[in-house]
Amino acid sequence: MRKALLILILLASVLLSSCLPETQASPMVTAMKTASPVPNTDVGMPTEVGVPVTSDCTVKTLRPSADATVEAPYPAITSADWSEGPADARVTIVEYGDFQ
Amino acid sequence: MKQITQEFPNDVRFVYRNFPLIGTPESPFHDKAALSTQAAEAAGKQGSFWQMYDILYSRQSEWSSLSLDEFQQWLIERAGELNIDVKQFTADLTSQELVDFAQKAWDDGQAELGLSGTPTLFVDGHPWTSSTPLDHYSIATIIRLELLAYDQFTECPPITINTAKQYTATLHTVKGDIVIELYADKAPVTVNSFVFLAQHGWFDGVTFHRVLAGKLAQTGDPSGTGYGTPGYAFINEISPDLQYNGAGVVGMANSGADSNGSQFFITETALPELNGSYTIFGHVIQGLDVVNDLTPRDPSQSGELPPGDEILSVTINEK
Repeated sequence: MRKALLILILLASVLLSSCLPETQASPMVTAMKTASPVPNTDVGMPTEVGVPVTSDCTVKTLRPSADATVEAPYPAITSADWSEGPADARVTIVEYGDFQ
Repeated sequence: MKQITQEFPNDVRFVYRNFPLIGTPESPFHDKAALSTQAAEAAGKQGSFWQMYDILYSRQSEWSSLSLDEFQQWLIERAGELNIDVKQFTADLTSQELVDFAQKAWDDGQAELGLSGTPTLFVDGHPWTSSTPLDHYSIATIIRLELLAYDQFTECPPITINTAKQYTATLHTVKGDIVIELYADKAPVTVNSFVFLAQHGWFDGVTFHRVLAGKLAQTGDPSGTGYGTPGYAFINEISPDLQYNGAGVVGMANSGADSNGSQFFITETALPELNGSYTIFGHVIQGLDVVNDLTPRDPSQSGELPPGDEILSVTINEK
């Protein structure tokens, strides 16, 4: 969960990135800003991966853990699940859905 | 989701789990949630889960207002269109096993996962917030950033440049070469990072994702989303004598002071409003016509954008 939180918080900071001042944020950018999901967990400040080499530069990597599902808030994905795409895909999307 | 899995065939796995919004006997919520779940599972028993999934979602308007009995009949007719044993499907559809399955999916979703609505999406284990539009563009953006994370650096670049030397960078783009003289003396941290990224191939295949015709061309984000970073952030290096006073000035994009990463831009005109806030670390000495010729694309505009022009590679020259 800690790792997930780290990714979320860093994602939030990234989502604010790189808008030069003379342009408006796109609707997307606005949306993504609010996306910055702040999970309601009780973990503390995330641990950054790596350490700053100098005070001029700070590491802010988003590199995911080897198995991103390890600390996922849902039961582990098994062969009994309905899934599309390779099992070793680098990104896993789980949807809980209702057909109606 | 189909579009997403087709767009990222090797990189994305999509898992679908049922959370039928059944409600309670006293206050039922979606009257056909359980039966539709059972239908997909019944088809799944014969290897046709995704076919039924597609039918249920794409033809929802046909069945959403039917009575339960009518819906059951409708499902059996649809099963007849699939290459499955309809008799078996009909038996499975209302079997105690699948009735219990749907009920358990509803119960567990609430009790164990705290789900409150559908669809609820998790990307690599973290939840999608309800305030984000659940559209293709948002999902694709998040995926690209998740993928970029694999390529990010986990340490800041070591200092390798010699500020007493002169550095030029040549951006080999699909539209031609752009040669930039780098200000190693005035922006050493920035130039050091740029040289480091170039020598690690960071810019290879990266597009000019944001080109505002007549103003500037921005690139340096391998995710192409405009949100990407190399995994580290470094300080602004502002020299009062360097100004955005014309075309060909090369500056760092940022998301606030000292948040520089890998995204940079080249001006096509004077942009004095940028003075003081965006590090200038070089200027174009050759190929300004190439900059002006880059395909315009403004990500803040809605609608389909043309593909951005690619940087094939960047070579650094030191003397």
